[in-house]
Amino acid sequence: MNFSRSVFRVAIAGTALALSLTACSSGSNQPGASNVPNGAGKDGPVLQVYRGGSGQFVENYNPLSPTVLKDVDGLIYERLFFFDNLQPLGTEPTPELGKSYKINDAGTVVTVQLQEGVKWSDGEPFTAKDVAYTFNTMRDNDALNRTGNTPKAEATSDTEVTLTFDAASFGTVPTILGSPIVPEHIFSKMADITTDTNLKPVGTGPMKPGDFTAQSYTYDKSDTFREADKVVPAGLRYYSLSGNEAATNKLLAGELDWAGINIPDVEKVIKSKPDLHLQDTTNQQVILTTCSNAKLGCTGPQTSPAVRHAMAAAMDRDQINKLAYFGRGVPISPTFGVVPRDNDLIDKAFPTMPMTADPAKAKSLLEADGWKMGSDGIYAKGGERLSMAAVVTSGYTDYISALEVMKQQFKEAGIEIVPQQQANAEVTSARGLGKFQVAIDSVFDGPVADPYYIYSNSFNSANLVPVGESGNPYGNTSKFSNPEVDAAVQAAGATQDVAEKAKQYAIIQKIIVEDMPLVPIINNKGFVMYNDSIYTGWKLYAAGGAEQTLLQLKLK
Amino acid sequence: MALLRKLGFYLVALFAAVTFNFAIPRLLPGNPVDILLGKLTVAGPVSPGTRQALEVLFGSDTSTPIWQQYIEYLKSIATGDFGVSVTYFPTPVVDVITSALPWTLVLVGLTSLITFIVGVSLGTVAGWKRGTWVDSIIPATTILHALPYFWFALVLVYFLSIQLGWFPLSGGYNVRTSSPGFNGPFILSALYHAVLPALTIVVSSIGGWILGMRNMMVSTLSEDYVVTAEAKGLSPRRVMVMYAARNASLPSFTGFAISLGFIVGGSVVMEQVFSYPGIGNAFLLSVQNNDYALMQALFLIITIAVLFTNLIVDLFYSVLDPRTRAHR
Repeated sequence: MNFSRSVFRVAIAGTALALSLTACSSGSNQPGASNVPNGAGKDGPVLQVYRGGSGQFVENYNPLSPTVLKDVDGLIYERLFFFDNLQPLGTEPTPELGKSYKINDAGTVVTVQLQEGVKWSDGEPFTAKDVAYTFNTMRDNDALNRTGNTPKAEATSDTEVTLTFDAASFGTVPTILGSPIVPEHIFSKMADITTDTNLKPVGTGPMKPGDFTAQSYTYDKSDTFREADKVVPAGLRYYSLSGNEAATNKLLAGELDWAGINIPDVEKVIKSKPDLHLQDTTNQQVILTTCSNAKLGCTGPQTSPAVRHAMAAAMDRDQINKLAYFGRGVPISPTFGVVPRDNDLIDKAFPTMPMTADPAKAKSLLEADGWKMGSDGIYAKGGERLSMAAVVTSGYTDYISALEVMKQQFKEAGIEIVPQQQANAEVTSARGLGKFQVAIDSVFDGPVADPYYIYSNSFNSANLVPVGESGNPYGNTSKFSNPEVDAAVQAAGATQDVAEKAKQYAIIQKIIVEDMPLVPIINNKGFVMYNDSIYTGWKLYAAGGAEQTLLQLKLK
Repeated sequence: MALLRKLGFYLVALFAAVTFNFAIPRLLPGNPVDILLGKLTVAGPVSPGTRQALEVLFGSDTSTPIWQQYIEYLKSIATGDFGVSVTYFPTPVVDVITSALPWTLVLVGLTSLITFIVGVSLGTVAGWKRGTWVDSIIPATTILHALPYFWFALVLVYFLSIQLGWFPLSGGYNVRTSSPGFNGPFILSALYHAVLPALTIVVSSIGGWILGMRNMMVSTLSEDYVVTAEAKGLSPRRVMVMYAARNASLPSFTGFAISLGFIVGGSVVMEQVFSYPGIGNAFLLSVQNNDYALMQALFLIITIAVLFTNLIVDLFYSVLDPRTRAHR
């Protein structure tokens, strides 16, 4: 264990060094020798893509498998609708295999009208039976039922399918309608759908598989795609690289058209390359998760809400943003609604967190809670110092520097945190068991722009286990429990009326802002990069929007 | 009889290693499902039932008693069926290893051999001609040996690949112009891609061989039998190679034997820097993902390789050095 960790640290140090090296290599640019078209006719050059693959690729074209190759779900297989979670709640999804859908008022039945005349790449017609087969298979197989709430499906005609949920499921509908649809005539012949790697995939999407090697694989344009004339690139090539440093080198050398790489201080790194641009695609709301609930076994000063509020007040978010996020972060709302996207769903009583520190406020909060300043400059109560261990995964450099900055800032307010770097597996295990005091991590977007997903995941007592029992390390890790919040989450999940949702969210927001089990730090926008020297019209999405991106690309 | 005793010893060592193999990964905190879940969470929205679905899929059954798992494990070793890798789900562990192993064996194996031969030869000459200008290669190579070699690799990448563009940045071969197999373009491309990684290994490890060999040469040269050989009027070359170098190289052979076994373990850091598709990469990923099946198989292969090479060298040693032969 020690061996591998130290090696890992060395690798991380190497990564950082390579990044700083490449950051100053402005003079070198290999012309795009890479972008030789391998398709014939009027198709454009093959897109060179890196989307975070490392190690060896596994030839797995089964979109129902968790280890499927990147963008098989999206380029070979399509969903009924594509939901863009960067747009405000209520935005209509983009139809793919579906044409339109209706949900009944109870939120239990969804009727979907399908596109007509769509064909699978082997020439078989696509019908409602394929859709019904897909959902019924997911429902009947525990290993595939990832929503835990897959509907019963019935093909009512060739182009209409009815999905029946067991309970009101407005929250699950986007995930279901955004699931890849597979052909019944192929998948029903598999011995075990969960482990079959589907080496000859038959899909409806714009691409079909090309070459595969463990280091790189390609997609070739599919001529049977119904909008094939709108697809310009002759294909895509995906790479496996060892990580950020190798990917950044390749990007700066002009060898990648499309890259999801988390580069620190990215704007400076790509400044000298006029062809490279970035688009924000995700909201990573960085937080301090506290084990907050003493009733369920949490121990330490952070079980007091006053301490959590004091930490929130003692943070100088501007400084954290500058030092850990290179100024790319934006203010965060204590309600975890994303500003300005979710403005309609955030109670006006809760502005975004101040970007400057207020140690005086932090101190008065602590003193009102009975803490007394000790001789070492750290508060104490009943012999217990206001000192907490803060776990962070080693190698996650942004989290580590944010914690180090906060450690200094908290000292001003008489609070001590002790950052502890641990291997990812250790941190994950500690979070699952609740055996931590403070952890730095993030909450991420849901399938559509609705804080419902954050509330029902991180604040819902349905996801709760006491400290010491193995729970979901990405669920309700703060051990927060409040019956009013549970009821409001349930009520919000049973309506699609935005105004009614906002009303329920106001109830939740008042309670979670007062209790603050997750201390908000900053909203760090995730981004994807592209090179527009060959293609223009780049529109990038968070997850699974590859088909939509592809349809908008034009040759420069 | 001596041979049997030796084999018996290696069998006991193998059994102990195999048992540790079983125990160590199980002492790691966490489980593969939660680690995959973490990756999925970062990649996009994750539905609430995902954790349970993955548990069913990976068959993470913790209710089987540990002794039963151990028996299953011993059975799997005997049959060569190491199960399915979680990192590369649903690929069998054996396939993961067989596709990564050739890269490591060829690159690290060949470079280790080159380093050893060149290092020992240079060391022989340096010891023979001690006190002349040849001695200056000692400090020069020792400095290179002392460099952290991932750093040296990064420097090579920066100057030779990024700045001058002479060598590829990363990877095992050019994935765009060739495909793996026994064909000209692929072999040429693989060799071209192997230059920098090989250079890194050779430069960073040759110093040790030279220094060790040179010092042994110096002390061997003062032995009586060398003086005798010289007095007999044998040619200097024969004295150097057959009398001095043959005896001086014994410790180097031991070192080489041990390093041979570790070739199979790959070169984790070098493979990271160059995105090289070898065992080291698979090893790192298996540990990061709590991939017990893959970890066990990799540990096992490394153990067997180290034991096996040690056995071979043990046997070979008695040919080289008659003193180590067991007395009947």
